[in-house]
Amino acid sequence: MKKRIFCSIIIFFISFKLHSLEVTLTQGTIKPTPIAVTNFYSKDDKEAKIGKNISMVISDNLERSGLFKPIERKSFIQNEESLSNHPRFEDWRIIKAQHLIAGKIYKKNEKISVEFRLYDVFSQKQLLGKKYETSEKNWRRVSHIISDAIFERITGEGGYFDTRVVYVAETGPKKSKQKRLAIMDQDQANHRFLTDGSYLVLTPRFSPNSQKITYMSYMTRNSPRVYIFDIETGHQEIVGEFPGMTFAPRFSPDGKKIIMSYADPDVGNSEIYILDLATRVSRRITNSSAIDVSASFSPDGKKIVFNSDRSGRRHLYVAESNGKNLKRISKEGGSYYTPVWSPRGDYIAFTKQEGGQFYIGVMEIDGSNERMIAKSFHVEGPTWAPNGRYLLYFKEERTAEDGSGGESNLYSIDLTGYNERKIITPLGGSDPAWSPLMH
Amino acid sequence: MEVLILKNNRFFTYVNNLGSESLGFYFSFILHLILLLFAIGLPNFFEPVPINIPNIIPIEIINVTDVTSIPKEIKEKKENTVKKAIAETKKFNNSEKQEIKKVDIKTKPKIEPKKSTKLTTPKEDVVIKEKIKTPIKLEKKIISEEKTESLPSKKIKPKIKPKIKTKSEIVDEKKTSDVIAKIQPKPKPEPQFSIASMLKDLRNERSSQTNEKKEKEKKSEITNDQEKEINKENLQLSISEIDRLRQQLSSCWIAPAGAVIKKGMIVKISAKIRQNRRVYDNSVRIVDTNISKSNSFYGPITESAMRTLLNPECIPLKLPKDKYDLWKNITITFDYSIMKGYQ
Repeated sequence: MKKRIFCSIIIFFISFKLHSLEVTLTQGTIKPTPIAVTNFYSKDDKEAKIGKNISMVISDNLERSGLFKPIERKSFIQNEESLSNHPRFEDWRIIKAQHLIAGKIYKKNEKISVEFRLYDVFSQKQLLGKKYETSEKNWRRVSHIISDAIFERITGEGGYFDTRVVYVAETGPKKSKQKRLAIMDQDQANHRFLTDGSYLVLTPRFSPNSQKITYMSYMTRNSPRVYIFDIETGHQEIVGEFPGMTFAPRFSPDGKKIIMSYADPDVGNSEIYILDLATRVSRRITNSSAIDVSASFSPDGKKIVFNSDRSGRRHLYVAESNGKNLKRISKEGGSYYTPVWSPRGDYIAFTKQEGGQFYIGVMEIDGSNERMIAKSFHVEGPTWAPNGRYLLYFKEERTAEDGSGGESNLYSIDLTGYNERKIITPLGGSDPAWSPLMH
Repeated sequence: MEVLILKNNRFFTYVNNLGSESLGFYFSFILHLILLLFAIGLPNFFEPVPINIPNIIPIEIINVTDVTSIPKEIKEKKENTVKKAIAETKKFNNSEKQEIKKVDIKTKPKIEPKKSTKLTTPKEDVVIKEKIKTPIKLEKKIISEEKTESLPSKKIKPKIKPKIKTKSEIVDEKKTSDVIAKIQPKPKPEPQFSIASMLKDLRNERSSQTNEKKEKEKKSEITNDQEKEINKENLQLSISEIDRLRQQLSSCWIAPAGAVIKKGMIVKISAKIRQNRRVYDNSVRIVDTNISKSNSFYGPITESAMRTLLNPECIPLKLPKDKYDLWKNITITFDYSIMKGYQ
């Protein structure tokens, strides 16, 4: 009897503790995360206007990423003033906001203080809180920095909003296009031209600190050369003294070297060279009778990828930065151009031409899992966002028989091949380059 | 004085009177119970009062310069000094409302035929006594029953026949017949009337009544059995019920935006559910995961899993109300094997 009572008590407790319904989920919903971005609150009207602008920029940034869906402001129940004290999570749950961004702005000693908080509405927790002090004219940059902080906290991936894009602005008929260097924020704000269009410019690339641009220019009409352009001072300088044409330059990850192609007029083909910017000494990396061009460093600077026609068709090759252990990585048919190593180090983006079509594709660094993410009559020149998740490239329309059309524009796309968006520029655009993060 | 009080206490006197064996049992029982309570924990008798205090995260004060970027070497040096400065500001930053870190066993009814005989005999006497009190009514009844004598169902007859044959019944019959004979004043029996038939009828009536009771009992037993069977079925959720829940949860599981998911990543969470099919506050916990905490996507991936049960679209959960015991604790495994395409 006693034993029975004892056993039944044990069984009761064990069953009480262990019984649990088990469910396994293998497929969730892939959709943009609903997020509520409120106006940054201020008692002063002027600052409140800045606060509103800041929240607009943040909202637009997050929406453009394709991963977030900002909720319509009209549906907000709690106002900014009340929100600046404490959020009423129930009010935000009703409108199905998964995350909430609230902020305050106030002036302090000729500077503005911008404070924001990111909340998880479902778990009713604050995920992030930061405060920035800056001059008033920097409000847009602060907006981008806040966007990056939010993006990073929610996705776990680095942000890319506080960045700039340099590209070649194009205008005029196809045969005699005027090409100018232009720079803008990634959201197309603060657009300005860096060159006047009196000479042709091609393939601009940012330095790792985003302060300099290296590009190829026909400043001296008969001998195109690689130049370095200082964004702040506007100063330009030629890179190295080569008897032939230098082109397709790119900075090394430490910013101390430039890798480029050099076409020796005596030999007739082009080889890959690395030039030390401090000593101005150049070193030849490849040595073959084929045309080797479009070299790009891996993020650690230990390897390079370039395209070469040494196998008959243009294919992608990976080698150590000294040219050793050369290996072809592209295996499919078609011709491959303009390879770029991802800042994350896991992928190589490229242009591919096959069957009368151009493609923007990505493959793993060993050449596996090749997939195309964009396709058109002419797409070319992919460049990575600093987080390695987004790409920019340019797309050229087909030219009509009467000579009309043929415009080229910049586009952004997600690594998955979704969320393709046209980048609105004052003129047509080609050869984009995405800067690293500026903060 | 205290000793005296203790001695007078009933409990202590009871304990003193207990034998050593039973005392030992009680002691071991209490100790085991205490051990169990420590090991497993007390059930939640009272709901914890939810306190909505957000996790306090300090605000980092960052100066944004006019110039865009700084060369790396200088940046690294500056970072160290900035870190120190931030640490200092954290210590003294008490202004305004800034939040700082200190901030059943299935018993088939055994219908024993013997039981019915046992039941009928004692009851007969009682009924007859009643009839003695109201003889006229009895007569009427008898008459009416006589008229309907042929009506008693054949089902009852075989049951009664063996009963009459028993010795005790025969004795009872004699006794009752004597009683009736003595008490009935100037009875005017109808030509077809006989005591035996009356007794027969009475017995039939009685037996029909008892049979009705039995049938009712049987029915109730059957319904009890059915309920038990239903309860047994209720001991597990049906496939459709689980599917419905799975479908609901899948719609609430929003894949972590942008996170790089590798094949085979698994997050297992547990939660306690209220009877109103809502999750208890702060009860959602990660039970198991093969994602390293050093992985920068650990937070977004695990948070997305935990957020599933808190999604307003999954409140209330689509669970059968009558099977609360089965789902009061829930464990969900989020298998990211197929989610790879999102990266």
